[in-house]
Amino acid sequence: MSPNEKELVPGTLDMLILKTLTLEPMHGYGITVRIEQISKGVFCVNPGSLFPALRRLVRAGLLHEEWRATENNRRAKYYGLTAAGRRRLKDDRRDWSRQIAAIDRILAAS
Amino acid sequence: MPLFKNIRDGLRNFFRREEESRELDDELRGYLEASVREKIRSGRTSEAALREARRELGSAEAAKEHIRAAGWEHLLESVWQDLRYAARALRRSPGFSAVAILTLALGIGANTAIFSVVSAVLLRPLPYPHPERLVFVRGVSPFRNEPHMRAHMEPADWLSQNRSFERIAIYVSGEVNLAGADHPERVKAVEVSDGFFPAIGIAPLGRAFLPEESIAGRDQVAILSSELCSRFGAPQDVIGRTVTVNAKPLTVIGVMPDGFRFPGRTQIWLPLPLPWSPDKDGVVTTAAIYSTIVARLRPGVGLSQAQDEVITAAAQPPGNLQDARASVHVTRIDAALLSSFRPVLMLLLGAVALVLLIACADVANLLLTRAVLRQKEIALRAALGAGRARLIRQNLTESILLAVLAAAAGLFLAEWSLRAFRILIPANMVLVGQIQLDGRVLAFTLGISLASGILFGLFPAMHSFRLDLNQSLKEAGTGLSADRGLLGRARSVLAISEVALALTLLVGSGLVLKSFSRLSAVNPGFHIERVLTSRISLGEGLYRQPEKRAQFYAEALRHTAALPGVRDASFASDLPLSGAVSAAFQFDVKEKNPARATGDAQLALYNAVSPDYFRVMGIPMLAGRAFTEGDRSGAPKVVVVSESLAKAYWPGENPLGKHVNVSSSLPNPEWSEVVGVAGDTRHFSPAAEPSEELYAPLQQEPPLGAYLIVRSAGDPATIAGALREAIAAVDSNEPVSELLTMEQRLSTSISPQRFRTILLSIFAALALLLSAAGIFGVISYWATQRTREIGIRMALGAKRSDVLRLVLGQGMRLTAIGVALGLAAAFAFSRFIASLLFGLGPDDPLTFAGVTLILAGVSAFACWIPAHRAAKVDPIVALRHD
Repeated sequence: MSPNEKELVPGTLDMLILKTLTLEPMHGYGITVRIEQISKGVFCVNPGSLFPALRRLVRAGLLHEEWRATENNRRAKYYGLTAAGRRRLKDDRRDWSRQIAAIDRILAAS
Repeated sequence: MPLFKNIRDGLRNFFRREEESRELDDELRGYLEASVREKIRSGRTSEAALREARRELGSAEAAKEHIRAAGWEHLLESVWQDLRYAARALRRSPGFSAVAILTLALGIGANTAIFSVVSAVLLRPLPYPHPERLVFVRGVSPFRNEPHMRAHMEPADWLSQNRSFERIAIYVSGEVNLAGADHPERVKAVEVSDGFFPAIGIAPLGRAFLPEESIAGRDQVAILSSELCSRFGAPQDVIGRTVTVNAKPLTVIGVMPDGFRFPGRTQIWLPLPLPWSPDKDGVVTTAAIYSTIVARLRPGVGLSQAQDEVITAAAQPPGNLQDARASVHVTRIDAALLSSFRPVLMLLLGAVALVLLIACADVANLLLTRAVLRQKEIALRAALGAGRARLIRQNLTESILLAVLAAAAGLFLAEWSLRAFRILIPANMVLVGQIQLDGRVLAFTLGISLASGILFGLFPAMHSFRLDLNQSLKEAGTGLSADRGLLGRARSVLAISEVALALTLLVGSGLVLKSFSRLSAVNPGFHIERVLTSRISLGEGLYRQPEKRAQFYAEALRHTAALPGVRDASFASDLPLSGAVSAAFQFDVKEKNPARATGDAQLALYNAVSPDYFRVMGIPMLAGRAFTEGDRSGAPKVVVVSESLAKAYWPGENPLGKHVNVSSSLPNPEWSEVVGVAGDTRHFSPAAEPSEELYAPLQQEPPLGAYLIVRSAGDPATIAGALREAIAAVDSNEPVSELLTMEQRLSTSISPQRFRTILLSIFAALALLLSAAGIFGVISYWATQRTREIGIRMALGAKRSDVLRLVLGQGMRLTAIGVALGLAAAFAFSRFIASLLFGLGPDDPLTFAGVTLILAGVSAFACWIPAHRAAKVDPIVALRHD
């Protein structure tokens, strides 16, 4: 583990992957880059966690996978949201907002 | 369908590994390329970009392994890998594997065999709907203080007002003569009230009895068991036909479903004439004094609630209570039917559990020894990156594989020993066909083998957990430092517990064995050798009059006595060890002893016998005379009493010349004079106390059925055929049944004791052997480890005897600790089997001392072998030993 690795908030990787894929199907590297970009470099997804997570989500029927040509004309596996994936993302976001709000309230209270 | 997809994808990956692997490679390579391109674009050199990207991704194989771990098939795969590895390891050391598997197979086989009996006897629910609501309602009789199902009231009296029971039925068990197609036959019969079948919840094919069929005149109906029915034809043909029972024609109105024989092994059900009374001359002739009430509780009613209500009801009309002290018990019928078997089976189950524990300790020891030898291999695996969890799992996989192989071998052992069980098991315990290795037994076997695999696998697993890598790799193979501290202690603890467990079991079986030998040595009070017995029952039609019966007995006796090989012959209405529920008769005593409380019911066993009975049975006359031919109908009534009866009623007085009234129900007492005192007999079993008995002359009180008892000159079995013919010559319509020698009856009577004694002895011997093997293994290893030390000692002048003493001392120290613990455990444990012992207490000092000596001796021998070997060691060789 590199010392400067920026760990994700535990338990949020699945939700972030799902969110990243709402616009269009992407391949593994694309997902890493996108999460890093959007978070302005705060989070960095390690491939060692990304790929197991992708496999888990595919197995759970939240993502579909497909081999496609990349913009550079290479073959890559693209992941996209299924209907179940979209539903899951909606639920996760709602839960997440509720939790954040609750944590904020607790922190503000003292 | 995520679940379906999950399974499908998992299976696809599992079976098409290469394709899956290639796909993963492609994906990861794509990732790497994209990453490198990105880094070059942001200004790195191509080498730096590649290096950085590689580092981010980590080792490609590790990454793949990690990704695979996200799917369930990964676990399956690694388990499969572990299994293959374990199988290779076991094949590499066939000697070790064979010993370990055999040891465990003995333990698992014994457990499987006993559990299959437990499963057949205790765990099989009664095949009736809601068996938990079926109860016996029993009164306790003052006679011999045994609960024997005597009803003190008419069920009809409280049937109408009770709130606890849905249905109540009363039944009386006995036997009847059934005229068959070729020869007459004695069959098990039960008279039941009309609520019987509805209470049990099983309906016959055809119909059950109607309430009005309990009225005399309407009771000419019968229901057959399917087994009895099959002799006459198919049920639909037999229903409506007539069968002849006790010379009365009865219409078959129903046939019970296959296998229904309740109560006991009943073959025919008849309506019970109500109101029922014990003095009534019913169809069922034997033991009519015993009736049983069976009832079905309403849903949600508890046993104690029902019992309270019954006691209240029983006390209400005080006249109905024959004995004020009688109380009533409501018991579940499944518990009641099994109550006599449960302690024995639990004892045997406990015994085999101990055997298995000892076997586990043995194998744990073996594995521990091997783990030390395999230290290098394990260290290497750890150095190559196997995690500790993975190593422990590998260890456990090996031990579980061992256990499962042992379970397979154990199943063979169990199946083989079940053959012996089927012969040994007491006939009343279970139908032999029900003992089998069914699904439940197999599940049990698998369960205990997995549990024992984990149990004995934990020791070596713990060992690999504590392994110091560097140390092990350096010392590889010598194992010199390995047996210190925790490991050495673990080994000693194993050996000590084996000794303790074995001693516990040895004490238990020693006590039971000694009980059995005491039991076999008991003098039952009558002859066992060369006595042939059989039962003859007279149908009521022809033999309504007592004179006819007396005539039949006299004639039959004359024919029998004339047979070659017959020394003496006699009839008796009751027979010791007959297994029948002998009737306890109420009688009056004219010359009452003021010391005896008047409230006591005066009950005794009653037996009408021919003059020669005492001679045939070898029962001594202690005073007065036996019966003679002169004691016939019309002559003054006389009786002979047993010694214990005489002592109980006329202590310190001469019983001769006293008078008793046997038929106490008659309005005018008919006093019979006591003319003799006979020796006591143990009527029910050699384990029972001597019974108080009254004998009357058969010619004065001819019974409806009697036992013909013959004392032969040679082997009694050879005259069985002639005996049957002799009876047929007098009246060919009367069935002869239960043609058995007294030895056979005795053997049946003590078969429960024999069953548990033989089994416990076998298990104890097994435990002794296994624990000796355990001690031997531990001490051998201990001595081998100290070869160099022993060599140094000898080089410094120690003698052979010193070495012998050193090694032997180590072994005996462990044994002594084990014996101390075992004695304490046995002392606590033997209390639980006190009820199974005969003629000795649960802390019989001789047994405790004896088995301790045996164990110590065997254990000393087991230690002497390695001690002897160590003492023979050449100091030069020993010093070079590493």
